[in-house]
Amino acid sequence: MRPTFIRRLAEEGLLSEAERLRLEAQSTSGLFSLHWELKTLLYLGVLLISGGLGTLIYKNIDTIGHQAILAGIGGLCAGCFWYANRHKPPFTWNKAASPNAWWDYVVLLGCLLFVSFITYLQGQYEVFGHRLGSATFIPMVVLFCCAYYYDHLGVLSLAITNFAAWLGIAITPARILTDNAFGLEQRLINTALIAGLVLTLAGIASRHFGRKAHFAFTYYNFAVHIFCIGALSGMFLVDGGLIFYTLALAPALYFYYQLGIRMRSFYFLLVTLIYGYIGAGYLVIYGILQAWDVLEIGVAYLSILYLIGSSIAMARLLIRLNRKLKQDAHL
Amino acid sequence: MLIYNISQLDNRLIGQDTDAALAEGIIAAETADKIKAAHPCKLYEPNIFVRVGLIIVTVLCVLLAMGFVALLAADGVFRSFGTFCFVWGLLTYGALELWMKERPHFRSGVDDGLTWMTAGLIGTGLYWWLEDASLNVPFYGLMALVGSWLVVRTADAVVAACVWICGILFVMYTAIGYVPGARYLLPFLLMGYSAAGYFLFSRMQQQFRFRHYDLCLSVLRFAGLATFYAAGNYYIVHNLGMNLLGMEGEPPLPWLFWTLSVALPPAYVWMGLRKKDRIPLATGLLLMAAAVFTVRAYHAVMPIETAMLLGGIGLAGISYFVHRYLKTPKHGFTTQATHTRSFGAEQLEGLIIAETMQPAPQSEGSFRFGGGSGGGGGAGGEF
Repeated sequence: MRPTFIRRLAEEGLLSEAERLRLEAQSTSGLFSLHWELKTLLYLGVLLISGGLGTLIYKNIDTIGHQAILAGIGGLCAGCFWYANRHKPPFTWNKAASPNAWWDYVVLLGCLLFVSFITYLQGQYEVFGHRLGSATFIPMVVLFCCAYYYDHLGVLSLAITNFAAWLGIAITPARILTDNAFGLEQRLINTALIAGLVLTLAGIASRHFGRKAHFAFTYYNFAVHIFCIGALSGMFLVDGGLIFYTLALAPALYFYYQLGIRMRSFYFLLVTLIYGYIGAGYLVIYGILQAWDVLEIGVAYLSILYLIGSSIAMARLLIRLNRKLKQDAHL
Repeated sequence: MLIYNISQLDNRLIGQDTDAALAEGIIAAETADKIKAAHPCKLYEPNIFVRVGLIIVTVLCVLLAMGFVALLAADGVFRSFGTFCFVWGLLTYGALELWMKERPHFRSGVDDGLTWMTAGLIGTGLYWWLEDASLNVPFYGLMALVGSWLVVRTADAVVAACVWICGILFVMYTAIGYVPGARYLLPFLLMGYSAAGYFLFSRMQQQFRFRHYDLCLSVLRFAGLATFYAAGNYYIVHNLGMNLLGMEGEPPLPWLFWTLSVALPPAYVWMGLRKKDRIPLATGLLLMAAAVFTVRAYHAVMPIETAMLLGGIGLAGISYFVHRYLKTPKHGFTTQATHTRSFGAEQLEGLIIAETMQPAPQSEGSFRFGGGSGGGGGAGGEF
């Protein structure tokens, strides 16, 4: 706290003498935390090591030999899990605190190495033949088990991503819109809806049965995005699918809106509102375009007026919701 | 000079400091409540999601209103787009002043959006009028002035960063246009300007009367350090010399620029650790990467994968040993996070991990190396 403020509060009689002295001591010589700098350095270091090692091995594959590499990866993976097991917190269905930041990274490294191991096996020796589903199934199961056993949100995110990969789609934030051939494969859109549904059920189950209830947020997070983007893509791209996918979208939005209110989470309210806004906007503009023969350029005016009006309405709705959740507004 | 109510801003700062002190156990809970009751903050300052939403809505409203008017008056707009934008910029500024007069918003998204739209529209208008390359100097000068006024009025950090960039460009083009021998002086001129700015803003940040410009001043200090480094960086001096000033071959005094390129980032880190100041420390760490790129641009010291491996081991090693050294706090440093670490940070960390460390999804049996998004070996079978 700035010294001027400390003086002002002391003069107003709001601070006891001891508190004033402690505040002044802290403002002149508080501890300087290097936590995030060190964590960033570690993370970058791990990224560089894995990238460098990967390229090095790839370039020297002839001299090193596949089996040596497999043995190396397997050994390192086993080592990581051995270390993780030595220092892991006791298992509980509630949230378990991790012993330190290094332990988190060791668990993560172990899981990544395991996935690499399986990928390498499949790529080099085609251990699973053409049954690619199996190749992704085993890592997925292992990742889920590790996520629960070690209570690691990062590994859970990897597991969910692998689950979606297993279903044949990429759902990480950046690739969700570019890697998916939604326009060509209605099957993919429906897969997205199913994935979203399953993840939502997983989230509900975690909270209802009390099995790692803090995982629910991650489940819901992935679920709402994959489901809504799938449904919206269905509305935009599938011929004659407008009504079906709107009917699929609406109850999902309603569910997540209620969830946001129940969890007092502004994040879910916002996300539902945004997806609802996009869907509703599409329906309105689609409707206006149907009357092109009658309105012609009027379509442009009406659309702009709708967009202005709806964005103002959205803003007011956001502010009202925020006020409703004001006290407990967090992620 | 601020558009906001000063005593309300003070109450906001007091409230934040009180929360921090309470979290660290320095004051009692009743004291915190008494302070908050005596200094209530009635500013409307919503969370980040509402803020982003309102920024989008505000910008959309301004653009759509402009579009609507443009549809009605298409002719006039075509004849002078610059005037159209400039006038709308002034109108948007008027809207900002009127809005803030009646409503106690603070970083609600509405004031952010209106400020940025004002700066953007006036900038577009000026750019359209002064499109000729020879009028660079008045353009950047005027933009810096307009931006400075907005910063003084709203303490907006983004506009402050833009003002700094405009200032640098103004000095650069003035020197090129009007100062003889500029081609040899330019790096030192810009370094002097950046250093002067850095020291000025550092002094200002310590003074109580600039307490509400804290974020702006931090951004400006970072910008000053960054441009000081950039002005002395060998790669930038070499390339800008070629492209802007038509100089050929090696820049004069190459040893000086090489020394600056390589030695300045560690110097920043040292400065940050000595003064326990996060800005030089973080800037120095970031610029280490720039130093590495500069060296690699001219000298292939070792193949990239070995460099990555060694660099990675080095970084992870430093992190590990410093962590062990500071297990108990020493010399005023600690590895514990401050109380502001929250649930949100953990979730974000999980998402980042999933994004950067996810092996590519399986495709038709092509072999991909997982475990990192960096130089993973590509498929294809050709060696």
